[in-house]
Amino acid sequence: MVLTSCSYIPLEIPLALGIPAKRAFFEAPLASCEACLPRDFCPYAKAFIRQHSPEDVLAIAGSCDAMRRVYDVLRHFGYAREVYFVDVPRTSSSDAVTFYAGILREFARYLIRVRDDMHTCSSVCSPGYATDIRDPLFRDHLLATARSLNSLRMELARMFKLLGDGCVSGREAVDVALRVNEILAGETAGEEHKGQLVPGEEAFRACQAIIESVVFRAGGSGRTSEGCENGKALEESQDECDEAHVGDKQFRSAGSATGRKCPGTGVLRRRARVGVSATCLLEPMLVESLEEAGLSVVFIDSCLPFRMFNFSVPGLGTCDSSSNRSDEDARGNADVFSSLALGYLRKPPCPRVFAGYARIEHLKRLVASSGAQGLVYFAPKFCDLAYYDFAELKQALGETGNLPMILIEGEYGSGRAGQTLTRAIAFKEMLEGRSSFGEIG
Amino acid sequence: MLLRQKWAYAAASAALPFLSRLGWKEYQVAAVRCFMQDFAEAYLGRKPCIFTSAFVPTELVYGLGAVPFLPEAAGGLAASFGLAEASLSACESLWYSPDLCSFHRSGLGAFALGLAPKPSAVIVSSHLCDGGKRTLFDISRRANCPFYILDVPYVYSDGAARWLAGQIESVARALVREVPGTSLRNMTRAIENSNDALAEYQSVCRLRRNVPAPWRGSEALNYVVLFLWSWGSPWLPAFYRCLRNHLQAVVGAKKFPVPEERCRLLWLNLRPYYETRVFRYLEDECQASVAFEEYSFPYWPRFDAQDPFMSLARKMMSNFGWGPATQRLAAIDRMVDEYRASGVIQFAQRGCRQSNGAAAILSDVLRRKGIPFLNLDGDGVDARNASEAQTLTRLGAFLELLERKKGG
Repeated sequence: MVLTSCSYIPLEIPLALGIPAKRAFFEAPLASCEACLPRDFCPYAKAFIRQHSPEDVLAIAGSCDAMRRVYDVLRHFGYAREVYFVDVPRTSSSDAVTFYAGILREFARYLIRVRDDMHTCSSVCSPGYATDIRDPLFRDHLLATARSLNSLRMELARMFKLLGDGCVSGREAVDVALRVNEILAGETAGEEHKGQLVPGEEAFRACQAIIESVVFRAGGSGRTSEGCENGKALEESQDECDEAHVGDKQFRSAGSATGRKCPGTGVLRRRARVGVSATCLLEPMLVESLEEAGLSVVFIDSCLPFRMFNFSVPGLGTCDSSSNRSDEDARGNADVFSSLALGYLRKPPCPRVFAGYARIEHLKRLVASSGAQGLVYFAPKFCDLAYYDFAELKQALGETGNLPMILIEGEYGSGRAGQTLTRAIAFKEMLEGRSSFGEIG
Repeated sequence: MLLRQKWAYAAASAALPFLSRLGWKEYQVAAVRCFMQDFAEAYLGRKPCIFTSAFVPTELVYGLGAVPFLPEAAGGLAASFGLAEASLSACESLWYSPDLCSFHRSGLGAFALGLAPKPSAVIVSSHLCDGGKRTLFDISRRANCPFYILDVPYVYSDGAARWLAGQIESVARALVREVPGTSLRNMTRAIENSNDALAEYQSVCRLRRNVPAPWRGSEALNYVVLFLWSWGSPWLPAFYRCLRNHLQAVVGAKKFPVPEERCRLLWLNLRPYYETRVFRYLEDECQASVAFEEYSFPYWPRFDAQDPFMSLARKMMSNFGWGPATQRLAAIDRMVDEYRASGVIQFAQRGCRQSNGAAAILSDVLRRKGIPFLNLDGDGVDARNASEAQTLTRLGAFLELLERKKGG
């Protein structure tokens, strides 16, 4: 299993090689981690320090100073047999994309070596996977996996859009994204997929079924069309989603007068609408706590889950729905690594990326499109990037844009803390007060 | 503010000759003269002033005919002049958490208070610490000036170095377009200045290997600011020449600042820059020498003046603090051997994740080498985060351990 530390590491590569993979989310750091990392370290980074299975490969990105040291500690003290550093650029110029494509090729070569080594002592690898990245079979697998993940991301984007419309609860959206993450790792695909290490078409279908069931319950339309130009797919699906929900919006305006509930959810329409932003949310509990306090979470800008999925890898050509093989006319002998590098580096920026004002503008757009009345910023304790990001956003959105913001700092489990709930309730009351005095909304 | 007054520089220049009579050494006067010259050019607007994070090669800035300003290093200066409290408070009022590194907070706060010159542009690198880049982005936003980032690959390869060299060249060319008063005409001169200074500095380092140490580590740690700030400047070779002459004289006359030298230490990371008893206790009361400091280690090869951008890229990528910790460990191992350190102290600057995160590894590696290691919690700028009594107690215990080890 490949466990990645960052949403900028494409899961497509291990999956295409027949290695289950997921973004690593742990429950909490082990107490023993304090023997090898300082106490004032980000809890997400500390949570990586544990005894990993010999079959786990940890792919660590240089996301921040803390994660770079986690990589060193894991290697030095031998907590994991295989630890690989993925040098994700901080910029997204065309040269950075070219550089990152090279890094991803190296990553694929490394995974092939590890997989083949492990294959001698276990059955990690399913037969029929390529043994060289130049092998056309590998290119086909990578292309097919990238297209399948694009489709999944489209489905998830539709679901996130419903969250903005108040029809899916934030907790529900996070749970679905986490389940999709687990299914890609072949862990919880359901009884019929148990033991299936490699997420093939079955697993992708299982993910889609989960998302669809939520969308359906929320009153959304059926699936989006498959096999479209993937670079445009996300936007098209979002536009399509907008059209499909005209009726739903009408329902909302009717319901808002009476405080009716959206079908299939427990979300009240008249709740104050807040966005959530974070470097890493750590766990779904904070979102649940906000909703418990009476706030309606309308977007979650965090790598758990939005930034993992709210983008599309461009330039993968059109696909034939029956075989998923590439349309050679569309891109010729496309370099899928370059497409992956481009898609991942140019996805909505996270606090680790240097994209000038792009992150601030991205948040402004999220706030405007979702109608958020306030922003809850979650900073894992001692996460420097979050502290800097919050200050930047507070100045740009809070002070200049008059958007109320609250900083909640916490460790694992702090979402359950009474203090968090109290602060969330106070924030809600403040938003309601502003709303009733006509300051916003 | 005095730094913006022309007459203040004239008065200070006139006073410089008297410093020698007050017992100042020649290299100390040279350092003041050099800094004053750069500050005059920056604060009086005689030359474009380019703000950089600590590990952007300043040769690039001098090569463009501008002067550099490093807010995080200036944060240390602010602490030594007793201005830290105000600048930290100003930074916190801008919503920055007190859990962040105080060097960065103080630099940004000083800028917000109007204590820094006006930047013509900002260049940051993705090197080492996250803090420098983010605070400098904020500064560029406030100053409404161009902001450039050098994205430094983590591991050296020819391709990675070429990419970085290309970025440096693009930034240089963009600056020439965007910032009046800059040009590439000075680049070769800056590269040569840097090479000359490096040659002098390597002589300084060789002299510092002498037992007992010819220079107080506490003072050497003050000059780290020069080491970060001044490569490529026309005056750095002269400063290191003065320093070399001074150390030669000390060794020749055997007038060592810590004459008994009961133990020799390697100091990692920075030091507290506000008034503290720590070094008086260490050097005078306990006769323990700080033989060398991690941040004074010259880690890069000589530049090729014909290929300045690739040379600068190589310098950035050979920084041992960047890349896997094994590189830093190798450099520390070399420093321990070359400077015959019997113990290593890491000043665990609060909020410095990149350095403190490797403390357990350092401890483990040094223990295997038989070198005691102390991770000394503290704060270089924010005195509120430091407890002097606790620091002295820990230092005392560590020195006892070294004594006992020496005694067998």
